[in-house]
Amino acid sequence: MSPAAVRVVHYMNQFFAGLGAEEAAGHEPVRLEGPQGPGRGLTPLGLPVDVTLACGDDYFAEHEDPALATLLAWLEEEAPDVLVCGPAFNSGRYGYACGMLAREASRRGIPVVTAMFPENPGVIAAEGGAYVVPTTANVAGMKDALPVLAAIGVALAEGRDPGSPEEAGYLPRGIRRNEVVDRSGADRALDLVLAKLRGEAFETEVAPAFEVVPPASPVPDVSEALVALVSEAGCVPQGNPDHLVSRRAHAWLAYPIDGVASMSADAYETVHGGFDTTAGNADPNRLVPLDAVRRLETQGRIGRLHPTFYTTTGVDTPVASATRFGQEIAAELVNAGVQAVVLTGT
Amino acid sequence: MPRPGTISASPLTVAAFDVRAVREVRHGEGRVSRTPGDPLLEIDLDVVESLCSDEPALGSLRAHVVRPGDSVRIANVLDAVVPSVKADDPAATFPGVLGPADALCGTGRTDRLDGIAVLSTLDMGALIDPDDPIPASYVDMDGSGASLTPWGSTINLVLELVAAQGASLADVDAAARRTLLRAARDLASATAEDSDADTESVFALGEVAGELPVVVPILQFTAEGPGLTTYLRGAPVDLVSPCAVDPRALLDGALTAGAYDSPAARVSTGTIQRSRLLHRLLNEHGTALVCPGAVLTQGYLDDADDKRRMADGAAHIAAEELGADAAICTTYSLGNSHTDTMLTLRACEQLGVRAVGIVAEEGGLTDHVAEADALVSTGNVLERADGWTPASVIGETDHEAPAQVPVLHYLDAATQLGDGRLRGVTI
Amino acid sequence: MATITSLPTIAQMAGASRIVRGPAITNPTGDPSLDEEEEVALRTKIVERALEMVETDVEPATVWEVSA
Repeated sequence: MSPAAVRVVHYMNQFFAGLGAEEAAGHEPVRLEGPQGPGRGLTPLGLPVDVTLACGDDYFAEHEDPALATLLAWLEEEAPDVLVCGPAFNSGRYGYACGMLAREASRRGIPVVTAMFPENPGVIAAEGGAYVVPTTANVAGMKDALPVLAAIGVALAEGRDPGSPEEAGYLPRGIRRNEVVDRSGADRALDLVLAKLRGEAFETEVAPAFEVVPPASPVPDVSEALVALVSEAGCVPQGNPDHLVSRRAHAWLAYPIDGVASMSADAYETVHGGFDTTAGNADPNRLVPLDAVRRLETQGRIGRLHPTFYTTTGVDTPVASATRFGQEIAAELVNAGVQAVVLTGT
Repeated sequence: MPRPGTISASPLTVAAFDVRAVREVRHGEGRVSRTPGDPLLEIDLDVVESLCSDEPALGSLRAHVVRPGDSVRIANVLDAVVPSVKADDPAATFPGVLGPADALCGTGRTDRLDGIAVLSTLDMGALIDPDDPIPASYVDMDGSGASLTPWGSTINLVLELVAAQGASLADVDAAARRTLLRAARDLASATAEDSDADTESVFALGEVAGELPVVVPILQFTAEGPGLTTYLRGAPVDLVSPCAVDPRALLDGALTAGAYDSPAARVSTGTIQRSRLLHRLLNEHGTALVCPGAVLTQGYLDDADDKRRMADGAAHIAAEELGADAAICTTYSLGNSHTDTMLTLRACEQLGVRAVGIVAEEGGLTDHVAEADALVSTGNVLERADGWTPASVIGETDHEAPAQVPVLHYLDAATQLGDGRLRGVTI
Repeated sequence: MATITSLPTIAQMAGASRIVRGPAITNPTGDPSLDEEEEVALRTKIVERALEMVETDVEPATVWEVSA
């Protein structure tokens, strides 16, 4: 099949598509003819782009379902042989959009290749649905990423296996698929435990994908520090004015707590769908310990409590979303000069 | 009531009769019948439908018979039960729900039908929590979903139930469970005149001489209120501390299901009755190993100290009371019950009991401890079955399933008692 | 950052290094069985443990308890 016969669609965000920078982050999805931005660099590498789809990063994050619906409908019309997403580098919202679109497109039979920093939550969001080329954290890695992206894209478009992760330069997909085996889990468990007992070699069927995050250096003296409260217990002001969902949160929220001495039951509630909220609603301080922190602030045990608290609901939350929330909240905290965080988990 | 941990010297004899075909009738002779030696079962659907006539919490019952290969999806499935009856005293069947709570169970003779199951469907969603619906629960009789659930391979008598207006969750659930178990008992009673079972298994747990390894199953269940509870002799498995039980009683109807969360990862009554794990341990008792009893433990405990105490308690009973050299720890459903499994594995290993855990995956592990170095995976519930559209759906009027249904929604597809043959692999 | 949770094994798996074990899923920073004063005292103790951890050099995945 000659390269000219393959049909290529490229997804990117508002910035790379030339629609504008941060001010255009709320841009609705658009469909553009031919390559845009970095897509122009793919043509000389053998992967000419036919159609570019672009969407604002904020728009995608805040309107995920309609954004995906629009983009997937266009993908169905365009019927590409391969979808290229990004490179998103370490932009969390951009990477997340790439990952989600990749996952959904691959479920519809469209091969996908994308590129981003390995710690971008978009890698997890893709759920193994895309070949992910690792990049640098910032755009300086563009010229290294494009050739790898193009080579895998060409292979996929031509219906070929790109090769192993080491050969082709992509991250191992780490997908857990199901296989049907001859013996039941119960039989395998009995064999496994007898092998363990006899001191024979044995192998576990599943192991954790451990996140190794080196501990942050200690804060030498918290009595001089700006401390923030963050929680996944689903705590919101009474009436849930911003409609935080009780499961599978797409967003985190921030609320001012300047001058608020306690998470009182008449002013706050929890909407978490993963546990019995009776105790938490009777006294939300049991979930977000504001009264205790205020006490310690008055006593001088902490320097000051950050005037904003951050909240979301942590049940059925896809790991990719939770990772993105953590990165975004952390970025805000760092910007605000916060030095220590107390996070409550349920 | 006999202490749950008492192991009787009397054997349990399970006589199984094959059913390969069903003839459903209406206005028939008013019973279930099966000619001795003939694998055809005749069922009078009118009689089945009258089973809920004295259950005010149920508005209606429609009975259907479906067969493997039918283009039918059964939705809102609550439970699946293997037809079973205590041959010597049918009124004792399913103690605590139908029979008296202290009825003999786990000994004597039990007649069972193979090849047929009884299923119940009822839309529980609005009753449990209208803001937080329970996941859809399917048994498909064809398409790729049919091979994911064990009940896609049995002829199924389906009891399509509707709750009575205004009835409480607790009342509806209890009525549904009773009706289902009644139907299962009555179906098995068709064998009353047949003394020639197709297979007969005898389970005895006598003393064993010699140096065989002692292997104990630690079985995790749950009790979080109506609709989220397993029942032991009709009482919620709401344990102050774990307890040792005769595993034969669990096969013989002492344990019944009433939890309607994650269909793939929970345990139906039928799965407990047929438990491959318990059958294998009982069959090999005295030859390859010793199985002195099973330990029942509870998952989803809310309090951190309670979780640790339950885990330590289960390991302690296995090690000290039952003399376990090894334990197999099962898991109930998804979420923080996996923490309970991990804590139990850790507690066993710390007492010198070599332990294996059985867990389903949600894309990967929910929880882990260093001591969990030998885990069996019952599959990734997030993976999807190929798309299939049934010609008809029982149990749901406005059926709208996604084109590709996640494994999560198929009853017992990834049950962590280990009866399925799915396994997660990294690609 | 210190995480207060009654499920420290899950926090460890997610990469948390400073973890204080709280009483229960439904109340990681409280205990409804105590009277109001005792409960605020417990909560303050839990938060103090968290702050102590923030001031301490730790190995990855460290869990601290709150003594009664």
